[in-house]
Parts: sequence; structure tokens; C-alpha cells
Amino acid sequence: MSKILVYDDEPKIVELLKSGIRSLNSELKPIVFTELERLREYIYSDDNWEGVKAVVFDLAQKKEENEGITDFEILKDIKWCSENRRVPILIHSAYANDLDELKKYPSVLLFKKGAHSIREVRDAIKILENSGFLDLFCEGPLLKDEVNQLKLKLEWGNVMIKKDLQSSFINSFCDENILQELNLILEQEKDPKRATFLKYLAPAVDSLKKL
Amino acid sequence: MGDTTNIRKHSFQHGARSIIQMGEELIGHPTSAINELVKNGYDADAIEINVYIDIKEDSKESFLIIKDNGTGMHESILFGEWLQPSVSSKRKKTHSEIFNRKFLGNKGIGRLAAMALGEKLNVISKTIDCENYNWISLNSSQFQEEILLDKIKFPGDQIQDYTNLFIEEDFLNIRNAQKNDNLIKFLNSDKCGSFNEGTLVIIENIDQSLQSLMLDEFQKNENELKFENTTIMKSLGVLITPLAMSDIIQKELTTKGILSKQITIANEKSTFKLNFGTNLLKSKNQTSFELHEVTPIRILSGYSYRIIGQIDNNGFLKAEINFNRLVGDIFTKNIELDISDFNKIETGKKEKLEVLELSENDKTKEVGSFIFDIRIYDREKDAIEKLNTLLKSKTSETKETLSNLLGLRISKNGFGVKPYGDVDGIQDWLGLGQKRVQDPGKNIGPNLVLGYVYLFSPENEGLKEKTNREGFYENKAFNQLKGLLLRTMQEAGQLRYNYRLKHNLGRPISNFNTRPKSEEYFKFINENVTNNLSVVNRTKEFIKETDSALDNAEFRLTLSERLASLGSSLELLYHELAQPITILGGAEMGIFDQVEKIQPTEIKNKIQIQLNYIADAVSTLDELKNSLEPAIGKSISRKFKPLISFSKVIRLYNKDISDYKIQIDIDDSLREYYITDIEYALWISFLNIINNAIFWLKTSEEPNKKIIFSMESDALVISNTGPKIEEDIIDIIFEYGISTKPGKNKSGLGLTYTKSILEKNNWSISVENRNYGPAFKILKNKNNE
Repeated sequence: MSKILVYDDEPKIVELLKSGIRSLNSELKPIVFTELERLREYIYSDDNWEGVKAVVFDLAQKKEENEGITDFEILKDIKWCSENRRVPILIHSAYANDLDELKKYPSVLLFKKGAHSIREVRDAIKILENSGFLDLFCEGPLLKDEVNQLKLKLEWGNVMIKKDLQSSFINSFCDENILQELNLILEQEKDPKRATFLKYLAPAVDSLKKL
Repeated sequence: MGDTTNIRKHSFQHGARSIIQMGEELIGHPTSAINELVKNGYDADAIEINVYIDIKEDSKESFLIIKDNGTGMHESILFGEWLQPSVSSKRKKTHSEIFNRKFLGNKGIGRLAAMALGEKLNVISKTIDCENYNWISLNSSQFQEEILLDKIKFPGDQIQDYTNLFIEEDFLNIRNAQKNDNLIKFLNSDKCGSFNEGTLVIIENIDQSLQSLMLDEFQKNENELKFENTTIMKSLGVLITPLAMSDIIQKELTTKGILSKQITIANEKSTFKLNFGTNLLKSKNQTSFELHEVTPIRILSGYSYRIIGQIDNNGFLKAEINFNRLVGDIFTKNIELDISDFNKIETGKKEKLEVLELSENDKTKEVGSFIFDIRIYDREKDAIEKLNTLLKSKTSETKETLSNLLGLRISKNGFGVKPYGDVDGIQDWLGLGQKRVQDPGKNIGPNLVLGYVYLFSPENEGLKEKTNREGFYENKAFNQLKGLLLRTMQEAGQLRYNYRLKHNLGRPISNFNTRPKSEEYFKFINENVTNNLSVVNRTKEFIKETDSALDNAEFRLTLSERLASLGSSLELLYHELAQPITILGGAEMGIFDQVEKIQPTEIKNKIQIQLNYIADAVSTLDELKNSLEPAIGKSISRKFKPLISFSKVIRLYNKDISDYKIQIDIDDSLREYYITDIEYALWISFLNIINNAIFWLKTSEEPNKKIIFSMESDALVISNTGPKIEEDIIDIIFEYGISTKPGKNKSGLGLTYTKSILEKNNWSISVENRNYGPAFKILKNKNNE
């Protein structure tokens, strides 16, 4: 089962995001949270993480501002996820524009809360899923095949190969508007999933094969 | 491997000097040595201890006596364990037998402390079971010899009347001592005499450090020195104050629900009295030896504010602050706060070299939960007068007492830990003085504080005392203690600041905001300067000018205050609007997705139309919210298009623009023009300029109403086809109060504020009249970029 985690401290927004994701008729099942502690219990447990393909977080619970720097309780969890979990992180927050420090994480996509933001988040998930990007990010079948082949060749072990691939994968889109690029692929390519693979992961796989 | 059974074995043998060296190293200050001996008496379940110091010009005649009525030492102890330095039964036991007191001394260093106080140390002790007194006599000069410790022999035995040791020739010879009539007089007085159980420590030929300390102090202040202000009395007072207060404070905290359970340091029957006397302060009765009871520091009850509470081992502060500053305004405020973020205000902390002596485990232990009672004393005249009444002293004396006693001290198991908070120790170990310099109003200086931090075993064992009894190692636990206390003082400082501001204490705040009474002054001049009309007229004129200037200043100040609060309100409004707008937008999307499923076409169409109205309204709300965006995070520099900032302002005037058919012309070169700067400065400038432009365009008869936003060289130019600015004010249009707008609500402040905020961000602004109307040019200063 593929899961998408949704957290916002406003239950109505959580409900609307849930309906939005369900309206995509995809395999993604929204798992929703309105309390940060519950969310933390979930994200820090490896058992729970099985099948999680994306997360949508509100920044919520703003901490006291210190010398003009906005700080949020959840920031450290977001950074942890970005460094330790293989998923795109969609931040849906009124403060999305205030946080320059999150802009340096390529796997973090920012959505400023507003009249059209739930639609934007929903559409982004649609693009990420239809283009096969979510499967590349997590361990989809394509990635599993490639890892198995590389394992035989390199004798590195799963963890090292995945780590290397993950870092090359993220670097491949860190300077571009990934949603725009994936949308282009969806519009122009017959087999968008293959095209996404070829553009973002294949170069990394090839470079390892050449070793 | 060969046969190892015949390998020789070796052992250390102490040199005689090691005893002296250990004493010197273990005891940092004579007061610490006396404190150690008092602690020993307390540990022996004494209920009264007398300390008497007799100082003569010739130190050979000086002596010191410490007598306790504790359980005393049996001969097997005095001639056994007592002669084994660094061996202490207290290592095995943790509490005393009778009163179940938590032991204070635990390293067997009391005897070494005593040797540091003078040349001849005599210990006379007796338990209830002993028929005679056990005595031992040591001469520190013996230990200066370069021989092994076990070769040094000194006398010790049992005796029926211990005073004979100081009277009879034979005993004097064997002790290598001289007869001291004054000492004999004291031993025979009611302050000493015979006893059934207890220990008497007599030190003859007092060490130069203590001799000079006392003589200097008394000679310098012969007529003014008060008993309670003497170094020894103060040191003893500081030592026992926490003992007296520990129980009271814990009870108080338990009643208030701050502390869940009291930590007892002795059983209920335990009482303790400490007396001190010296010949240097002459008593009224010259013939007797006068001892004074050492009492807890007296000024404790005359505080202005008192913060009392607990910080638990998660860094949660639960306390209350008592306000006792003004008569008739005594009240309490509760503080419950997570201060585990304390390390944010404690920066640049380096581990001291001494910490390297500790084991890895001791270095990294946590401080644990602790309680504190900190009193803060304001220094204004009325606060000092209140203390004068309490202390029955004059202002200068009260100030002197305050200076001598103030400090934040540490107590462990009921006794003070030197040197924290001592005038001659580390009075400001928290660094309050440094904090006060950074923000004098809100931070509390070390000269205002008298308090204790109460630590107990085993909760606070993470704090390790140094072997010389001069404080704790600065390990992790100690730094946590400091950080948490500093953070607590910061909170208390803020509350005190608010209170003082409200009650106009300290700085003359009311005078700052209150207008001088100019009418009264003029009346005074008029009545007193009767023969010079020109002086009266000039004064009248001057007062009129001053009043008018003050009226203007007051008006501008009010507007500035309004602007300041508007800024923060805008930020709040912006973020709070985001939530409902998002819900509206999301709900609209949900309905839109479902609307196709509605079967009767007529109903579907009606819903569709109304849904479009909702969608439009939500988008408008969203745009309005977004137009406030540049006012958010206003101190952060970002990459943005000035055109977008301009459009956000224009969005706010959509209705006027549409109603009055005002055309907005945008220069094409601005469409892709980005800058990296603080958007707020430009946005607020555009807002003021466009607000003026719209105002004048609305009143204008001009058929071709336009606002033009263009790039000219590097300048951003906003011009309009409204009336030109009057030539007589165009040069001063950015000055305070200049406005040609009709009506009462003009402020004449908008353009002044615009100029000020632009200049602060390194922009300049100018204005000119063009043939079609006024134009404002905004230019980034190049030289200072």
C-alpha cells in the first residue's frame, strides 16, 4: 500500500487535503495527523514508514521569534525527514515564503497557504505520481531492479548503493523547478515514467555501472 | 613465563611534609578551615558549637577554640582512625546516628583544616561512655622535617581534667608549648569548662593568614565595625543561613504545590546553634568572654521582590515571584515555563582545564532538579529606608550591609558552599553584571541579589566539589545550573522591569512623558519679574513656542506609535487570514469537483454560478492578503520584482482605480526587472506615494487620469497626472507635518516616513513636477551598497 502522510493542526484543512488526494483516484492512501506528537511517533518509526511515498506538512506551532528569525517546532523533523527518509516533502504553510533555510533542501517543495493552495498541493501530488517520480524517490520496482543489478556488479551492499543513488538523484534536480519539468514530461512523453527515470535516475545508475 | 613468586613488592611511605602540603592544598582560605571544623561538629550531632578567636599582637599568644557538644570521639577513634588522614568513617555512612543529618564533611579533611589554622593543634574529646578526656596534641613545625611521616611522634593520652594540659609544666613541656593565661581563663569560663561529651579543638599560635585577616579588619574599622559584618561572622552566617532556611523554604514550596516532596537533611529533633566571639570586639562586660549567636542573614525579609521555586530535571521552571516593593501593593505572580532552551543565552562556554581531572562520567552528569530562593533589593531611597527600619540602621549603614551580604549563594545539604556569592569569593559567578551591562533595565545586577540555590544529595551529585572546598568543577552539570539560573533571572528581570515601569520606579519615566507645567512657570515669572516687561513678554513668547513644538512632537509620537502597532497587527492579520482562505479555497475546489455529478441541469447551473461567485470572492480575499505580503518578515532581504510590489499596492486601490477610471501604465523594462533587497521599504514607499496619487487624482478634473510606473536610468519612478505639488512646499515635502491635503485627518507623516525608511535601507527619494504632474524618483545609493 502506498501512503501519503498529511499533517496540519487545523482539522478542516486536513480533511480538505484528504478529499483532494482521494479525488485523484490513485493508490495513495492519506494518513492524517492533527497533532505533532502523533506525527513524530509515526515518522521516526521504521516500521510505520513502509510504503510512505510523500508527506504534506504544515509548519504550524510557531515558536517565539528571535531577532527576526522565524522558528517552528516541526522544522527539525522536516530536516530529519529530508536527510533520512526517501520522500518528497511538501510544505503547505502560511509561512512557506518566510523560510529561506528550507529552500536549500531540493526534496522540500513549498506551497504558501491561500485560496488555491490545496488545489496546488493536490496537483503537485498528481504530477509526482503520474510521472513515476514518487516511485523513483522511494523504492519503486524500477529502482529495486537497478539496485539488484548493481549489487551483483559492485559488491557494495544495498545500503551503499542506495545512498549513492539517492544523492545523485537529488542532485539531478536541485537547480530546477521539478514540478514544471515533470509536467513537461507528462505533456510530451508517451511513457512518462520511463522518461522520468531516464532523466533523473539513469545517469546516476550509469555512472555506477561504469565503475 | 618465569617464576614470579619471588618478585619483591613495594609500598609508598609518606614524607612528614605531606601532612602540611595536604592541609594547605585542601583549604583555600582560613574561613573555609573554620567552616570545615563547624561541619564536623554538625556531623557529630552537636546541637551547639562555640567558635572563639582570641587575637593578640603577638601571634604566639593568639588562640582559636572550636567546641561542640556532639557525640565526641572514643579513644579507639581518636588514636585510631583520626590518625589516618584521608580515612573517614563518613565515606561508608551517609547520615549521622542521632539526628540522621546528612553528612557535610566526607573526606576526613577536618583535622588537616585545623592544622592550617595555627601551629599547635590540640584535640580533646569525650564520648558519654568515657571516664576521662582523650587528648592529642600536634605541632605543625614537627611536620616540616625531611623525614618519613611515621617517624614523627606526638603526645596524646587520657586525662581527668584537660585544663592541666595548659597549666602544668610537664604537660606544657611535652606539648612544647607556653602557658597562656588568657587561654586558661577561657577554658575555665562558662563558655567552655568540663563536658560529658563533645570535642574541643584548641589551636595555639594562630596562623599568620588568620591573624592578619582579623587584625587588619579590626584596626581599619575600630569604631565602626559591627559584629555581624566581620569576615568570620559573615562567613559563619552564610554557612548556616541555608540550614535555617532550607526546611522553611521547602515547606513553603510544598504548600504552594511547586515541590512535590520535601527532602529532609536531618530528623525533626535536630536543632543547631552556632556562636562566635572574639576579644577584638570589646563586650560591655570586659571580664567575660562574649559569644554571639550566628543568625541567618537578617535582611532576608526586607526584599523588594522574591523569586522562589524549582527547576526540574527537564528544565521546567515552576516558581512564584513575590512583589514586596511598595507598601499596600504586595502580591504574587506564578511562573510556569519551559526554560530548557537556556543554552541559547549561554554562548561561548569553554571547558575549563580543571575539568580534565574528572572522570568522563562526572564530566557529563546532569545537574538534576533543584530549588532556589532569590531575593532582589531595589536601591531607591524608599526601598533603602524600608530596610533601615528593619535593620535599625542608617542609610549608609544599610547600604554597607547590603554590599557586604548581597550575592547569589549555593547551599548543599543545608550548608553554604564557598566561594559562590561571597564578596571575597566569586560574588558574581552567574555573570549577572555582564548581562546587566547588555540591557540595564531588564537584567538584574549582582548588587541587587541575595539568594540561595539549594542542592541536595543524591539528586545533585552531578555537581562535584573541588578538593580544596573552593567551589564546584565547571562540568556539564555546573554549566546547566548556571544557564538555568541565568534564564530564571532573565524572567524575573522582565517582570521586575514591567512592575517598575508601571509604578514609575527608578528612572524618572513620568517626568519623561509629562509636559512641564509652563503656565505655572509663566505665572511665577509674571509675579516675580515686576519691573521688566520685556523679560515677561519674551518668556511668554518662548513658552508659546515650546508648547507648540511639544504639541507637534506629541502628535507625531502618537502617529509613530500607531504605525508601529499597525506593523505587527498586519503581520498577525496576514497569517491568520491564510487559514480561513485556504479552507474556503479547498472547500470551493471540493464542491467544484463534485458539481458535475448533480443531475438536474438547472440546479447544477445555479450552483455553478454561485460557486463562481464564491471562487471570485475567495480569490479577491487571497489577493488582498497577498498584497500585505511585503509587510511580513520586513527585515529580510530577498530577490523580488519591484513591479510585483507595485501591483500589490495597486491591488489595494482596485475599487478607486475602477470607479475613477484611473489608468495604470507600466514601463516594459520593469516586467523582468529583479532586485535583491528588503521589499518592505519599497512597498511602504509605493503605498504612501500611490495613496497620495489616488487622493489627488480623485479630486482632479483631469480627464486622462494616470499613474505611471517607469524605469529611468536606474531610478524607479512613480508619477501621475494629478495636480502638481505647490512650488512653495516641493522642497520641504518630505519634512514632518507637511501636507496640502484638506481635512483633519491628514498627518503629514506619510512621505516623511517613506523617506526615512528608504534612507535607512540605502535608497534615496526625490520629487519633481513634470509637465503632466508630480513624479517621485527612488534610487538605490551606489556608493554604500
